[in-house]
Parts: sequence; structure tokens; C-alpha cells
Amino acid sequence: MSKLFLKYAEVAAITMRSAWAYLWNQLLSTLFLAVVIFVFVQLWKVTYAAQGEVINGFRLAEMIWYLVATEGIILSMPRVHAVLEQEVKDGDLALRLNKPYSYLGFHYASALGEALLKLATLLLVGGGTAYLLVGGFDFRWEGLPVLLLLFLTTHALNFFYIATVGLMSFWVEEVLGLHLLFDRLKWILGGMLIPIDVYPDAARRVVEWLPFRHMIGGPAQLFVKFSWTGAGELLLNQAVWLVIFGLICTGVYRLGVRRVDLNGG
Amino acid sequence: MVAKLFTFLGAYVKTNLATALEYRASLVSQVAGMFINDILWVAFWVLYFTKFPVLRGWTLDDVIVLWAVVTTSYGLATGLFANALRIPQMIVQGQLDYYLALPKNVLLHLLVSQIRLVNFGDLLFGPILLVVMVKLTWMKLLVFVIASLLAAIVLMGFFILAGSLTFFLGNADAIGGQFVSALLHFSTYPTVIFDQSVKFILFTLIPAGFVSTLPVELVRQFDPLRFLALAGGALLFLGLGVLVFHLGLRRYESGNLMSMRS
Repeated sequence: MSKLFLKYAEVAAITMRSAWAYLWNQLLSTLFLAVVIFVFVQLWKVTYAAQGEVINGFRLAEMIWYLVATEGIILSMPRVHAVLEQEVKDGDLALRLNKPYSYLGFHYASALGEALLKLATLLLVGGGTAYLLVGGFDFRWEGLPVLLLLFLTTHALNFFYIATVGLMSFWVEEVLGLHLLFDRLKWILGGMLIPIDVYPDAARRVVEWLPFRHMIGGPAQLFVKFSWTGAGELLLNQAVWLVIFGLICTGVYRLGVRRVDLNGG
Repeated sequence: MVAKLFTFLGAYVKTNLATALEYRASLVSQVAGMFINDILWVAFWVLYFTKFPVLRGWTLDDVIVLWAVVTTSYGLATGLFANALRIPQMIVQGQLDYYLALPKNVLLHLLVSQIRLVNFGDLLFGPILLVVMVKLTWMKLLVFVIASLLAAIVLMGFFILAGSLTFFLGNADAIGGQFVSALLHFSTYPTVIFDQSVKFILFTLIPAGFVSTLPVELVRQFDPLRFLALAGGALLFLGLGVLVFHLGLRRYESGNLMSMRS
């Protein structure tokens, strides 16, 4: 078991080292997040000026840091769907099938390594901009280990979700459209731009039955308003959805890989 | 001259569309995907205005018109003239050689030679959004169409201008890309949320005000002065883009990179 873990940890470490070599590039491409945060600060400043200091339990700084967290979760996710699509189309998939690791396990570990470094740069740029514009918030440092664990589970949920879309390339010629569809659905229903608590009641009732809030809004809300019970509930919900998403993704992979024909060398 | 130009443009658009229609499933999924993408942002504003009905005088209808104009104009500028966003890459990789060897205007030829399917979703989304969500008159619809065309020209001019920086700065893809992303992002928010200094930037350095606020104000109530400002902005940015591209083209050095044009 530990050997298995070490194998995938090594894959994650290699990807992270590789991404580290392009750190400046990564930072430059993250700079746009500063624009996003700046615009949101302006929007919410005007809104808070009209509505009062607290909106559905969120102060201005908390609202902005919530956005930093949702952007961190979403933008740190590598373009797994595109990588899988490319490998299926080009036939590179065949080169991985005879390697001593699980195809999905390899890509999960690889995406995680890249995501950890991306998250660090996103928090640096996004957090730095938020701090300069609205200041800090009351961060509960004792919750940090749980938040790190939550990032791992959130990343895994998002990975299986988006990898399933990528694996659709076994059947369709291009998955860009499907990716946009599923990804944006997750954004809308996951509370990417506004905390789910601020949604109108009818919308909130629908969203609460779906998995998306556990993939974006839930972890982001805990980042700004940490509570042990909230963290416990979220981890439990994520565990249930991880099993469901994991099974679906593995099932789709097994069905798809049967369609692969290997010719020559 | 003008008839020849339209024949040339028409022939390219027809060929590009015929190519796109060969991959119907891909076309449909990309257009649908972009539709959903745009719906996300509109959903955000619907949620926002359900909670807070007025934003410094702007209502949900205004933001819907804004999104209709931005998506239509962006869809026009990048869906039909996809290479507008690829100018830096084409300069760096020596891909202008192909156009330089042919007896057509280099800039015009490279702009029309590629379409981007995914942005057809934007092009369809804008008008549909407007018709479905806003109470319209024929006059408002006409103003919307003209304002969207002018906004598309502003965008196109800015894309050419930002892309042409590569002639002077070397590989300016990253810098130009940041400017383009900033323009698009600022364009999707009402300028009323910004202070005067930011507004000044949004009508000069990053001309988002011409793409967002002016068209919305025109559709809300037509005003000849505002219309002239929008038309002037379109002329200015397109003129600047064309001028800088042609100045830069004199500095263009062909490479020995062999590439197939597909």
C-alpha cells in the first residue's frame, strides 16, 4: 500500500518539479487574476455601500476572499480533459497502457502535482491583490491542516468529474464543447461567483441536492468561515460523491479503452 | 473595388463555413458549450439583481443588453476573423510569409482566412439573449445591431493593435494577451462601478467602455452625440490597429520555418 502511494507521490513530485521550472511563466499567466479581483472589489464595494456592512453573513473582505478561494480551486485544476483527449486522439494512450501504473491514477497524481504549485501562485497573486484592496479577514489558523486536506479531496472530486468529460473522446471527435457545458454547469451551481448562501431561496434549494457546491462553494466558504462541524459535514459529503464520481470515471475509462486498437509499434 | 472586396470576403467565409459543417457534431457541441458559458455569466447577474435590484442606476435589463452586445461583437470579431487573436503567434512563427506572397491586402487576408467555431456560440447567444429577455422595439433592435457592429470594430482594432506590438517588442504574446483579456473582462461589467480614473482608462488604454457602456446607453435611449462617440471610437481603434500593423510589417523578418497552412 505504501509502495503504491510512493509511486504516485513520485509522479506528483516530478510534475511539480517540472512546473517549477516554468514558475515565472506561471506567475505571469496568473496576473490576470488581479484584474478579476479588482473588478469584483469595485462591484462589491458599490453593493456593500448600498446594502450595509453585512450581506448574508459576509463582510466585504470575506466576500472577496471567498472569490480568491473559488478562483484558486477552479484555476488550479490543470486542463485534464484536453490532455486525455489528446492522448486518445494521438494514440499516446497506448504507450501508457503497458506501464506499471493505473492510467487514471497516473493522471490524477500528475494533475495534483501541477495543481499544488498553481494554487500557491494563485493564492499569492489573488490573495495579494485582495489584501491590498480590502485587507485581510479573520482566518482560523487552527483549521489550516483540515483546509489542506479539503483541497486534496476537492481536487480529487474535480479531477474525476473533468476526467470523465475528457474520456468522452473515445466516442466524440472533440470534447471542448462538452467540457464547456459541464464545467460551466459546475460553476453556476457550485457557487463560483457568489456564495450559495446569497442565492435566492428557490435556487439554493435546488443547489443543495447537487454535488457541485462540494466542489467549489463549500470549501471556499470554509476557507473564510471555518468551523469544525462544517468541515466534517463537507468531508462526509465529498467522500460520498468521490465514490460516485470515481466509479463513473473508472467505468467510462474501462468501456472506452475496449475500443482502442493497437497496431504495430 | 468594394464589390471585389465583398466577393473576396464572401468566398472565404463560405469556404470556412463549409469546412466547419463537415464536422457537425463538433460544431454543435462547441456552440452549445459556449452558450452555456455565456449563460453562466448571465445567471450570475440574474442572481445578483434578484438580490440587489439596482446597481447605481443600472437594472438587469441594462446588463442583459450589455451581455448581448459584448457576446455578439466578440463573436463577430473572433468567430469570423479568428486570426485577429493569433497575430503575435503568426509573426513569431513566420506565418505571414504565405500572405505576403499573395496579391491581397496582408492584414485583411490573414483576418478572414480562419474562423473559430466556438465563438459562433457567442454570435448566436447575444441576439437570442436580447430577444428572449428584453422588451424590444424595432428602433432598439436596429440600434443594438449597429452598436454591436461598431463594438466589434473596436474589438477588432484593439486585437490588431495589441497583436502588432510583437513586431516591435519581439514575442509580446503574453503582454498583448493580458491586455486582450483585461479588455474582455472589463467589457462585461458596467462602468458605473468604477471611479473616474478607471473610467478614463476604459475609454482610452483599454477601450472597454466603447464595447459595454456606450452601446447600452444607446439602446436605452438613442443619443446622436453618444452614437458619434461610439462610431469615432470604432474608427480610431481600427485605424490605429491597421496603421501599427502596417508600420510593424516593415520590420517583419521572414524565418526559415517550413509550415503547412491548413
